[in-house]
Amino acid sequence: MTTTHAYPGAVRHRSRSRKVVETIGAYVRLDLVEERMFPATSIMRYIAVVFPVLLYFYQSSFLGAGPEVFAVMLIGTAVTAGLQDALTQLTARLNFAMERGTLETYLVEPVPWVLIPIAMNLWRSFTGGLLACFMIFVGWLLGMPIDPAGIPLGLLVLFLGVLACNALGTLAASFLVLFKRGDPVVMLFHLAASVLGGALFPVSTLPEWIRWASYLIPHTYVISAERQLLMPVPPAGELSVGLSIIMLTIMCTVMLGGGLFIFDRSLRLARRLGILSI
Amino acid sequence: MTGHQPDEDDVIVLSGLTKLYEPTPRWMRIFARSHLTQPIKALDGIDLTVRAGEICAVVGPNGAGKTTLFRIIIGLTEATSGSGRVLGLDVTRESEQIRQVVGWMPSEDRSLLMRATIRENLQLHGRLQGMSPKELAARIPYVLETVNLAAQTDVVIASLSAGMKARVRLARALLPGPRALILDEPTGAVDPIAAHGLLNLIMDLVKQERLAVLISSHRLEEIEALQSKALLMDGGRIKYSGDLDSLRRQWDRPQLELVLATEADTRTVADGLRAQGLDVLVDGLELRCQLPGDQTIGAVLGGLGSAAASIQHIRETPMPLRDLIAHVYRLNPAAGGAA
Repeated sequence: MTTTHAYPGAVRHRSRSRKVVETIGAYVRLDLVEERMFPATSIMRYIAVVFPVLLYFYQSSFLGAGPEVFAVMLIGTAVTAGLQDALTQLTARLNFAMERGTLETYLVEPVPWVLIPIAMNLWRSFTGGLLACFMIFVGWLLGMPIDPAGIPLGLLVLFLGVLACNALGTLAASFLVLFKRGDPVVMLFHLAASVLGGALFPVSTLPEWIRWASYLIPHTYVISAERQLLMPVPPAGELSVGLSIIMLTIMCTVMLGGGLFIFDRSLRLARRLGILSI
Repeated sequence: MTGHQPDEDDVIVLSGLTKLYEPTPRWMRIFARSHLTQPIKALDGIDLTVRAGEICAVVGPNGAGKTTLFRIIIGLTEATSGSGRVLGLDVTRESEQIRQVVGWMPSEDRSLLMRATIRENLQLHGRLQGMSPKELAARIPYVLETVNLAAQTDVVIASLSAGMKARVRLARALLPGPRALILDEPTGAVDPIAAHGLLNLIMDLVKQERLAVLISSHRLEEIEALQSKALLMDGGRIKYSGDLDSLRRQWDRPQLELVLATEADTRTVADGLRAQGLDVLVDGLELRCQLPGDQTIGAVLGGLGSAAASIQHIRETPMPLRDLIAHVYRLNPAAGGAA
């Protein structure tokens, strides 16, 4: 044994930013290891999403609706599918870790617990966003018209949507930590978001008595903005891009801050009650 | 232990630690039923000091409070009252720092990433511990050498034996260079030979690195082999706290076996022992009796007078640790014990 290998045995003082970088780096690495473990799974996911694209393509052809309707449906579906991972994967992973008894392994690491939901969901959120882009790309190959000038801002809007859905996922994870079930909340929200967010139609189609609920979810703003940005001739009745970006920014700030605060409080309460990871 | 004067070698110091598990608040029960209907005192005024270079074995039946004790130290739950410090850090307020200086070895292999290699498992843990890639490059070979797994560095965990997986868990606990180790049934699924090797390794580490170790195990022969201090717990309270030698001195009731030459001698000696108040079992020319706590062999033989001269062989068998502990639980219902 050499002195360089001697046990340091002291508390390492790390800045908060270093902890953030190291925690995110470690979890992304963990996800990459898992991706490598099951390489076919990732490939299959991308193959699987080609089929809904084909479904909407042939449906719009059958109905004689033209490429615009195909674009409306595909953008809505791609965004909903892309945001699904950001929304659901954190609770799915936490639930899996709790059921399998491995949550403690994550919690005994010397990182602030509040970082865990961000770090744990980052890679899945990224691949979810990638999936949305891939679906739109396949649609473009099938003849869907896309305005290339809208792509950079479209990516920003998608990023904001992913961030806002991460915040909602964190709220669901708080529920999971305390009540051991988060899936029903997320599932309810996800299914409602498809309708209220206007995945297959502009939200202006919805009756007024329910439309107010559309404006409370990030999907509405992301889908509406993406249609405005990517379609050369966007449908009438969509929200303006500027308003969507402002609303998404507010949602990200408020919901992410609130989500992380509530997640931290939930963990503390569960710790005090002794129900953490049980 | 109790009444111990603090010094710089104290690593884990618990004082009056109490944990009361209460049913979840009423508002939470709308979403999930509480698994408790009554408050349960899992720990009741636990005092404990583990010093650098010391092993303390926590022993007790299921529900004794061992896991709760460990969970409080690593910050997975909070004590209701009392205080706990690890290297001077408060277990409630500074648990994040404590998790840097305490290596935790959980009892189950599931805590490992089964389809990742040993190196990848250690890298993930090391990065979360704040170790730089350069540090990890030096430490990973070192800890794997320590636990004799250097040759398996790039082997996938799922393909390792139970003993090897246990050593990976130990390597992970050792990676950041902790000052204390908490080992929760480290040899649970390991065969006796591999378990023996693992315990020897732990004892060597304690000596070399002056680690403070808290260990729980249901295998009492292992606890005895560790030559450690023991904390006997039951119902959240301490039944005994001290070293195993003191425990033996205080509570051991060795069995005395006497072999005599003739049946007449056997009868005479048996009567002599019974006259001293001992329960005697006669088996042919052999006699067996349990020595009372306050009597020595010399005193017993002295009490036999001239009949002692007819004894051919004497054998004293110490109580198995299992029986000794059961005896302590039976005879010492009050908390506290010796120190």
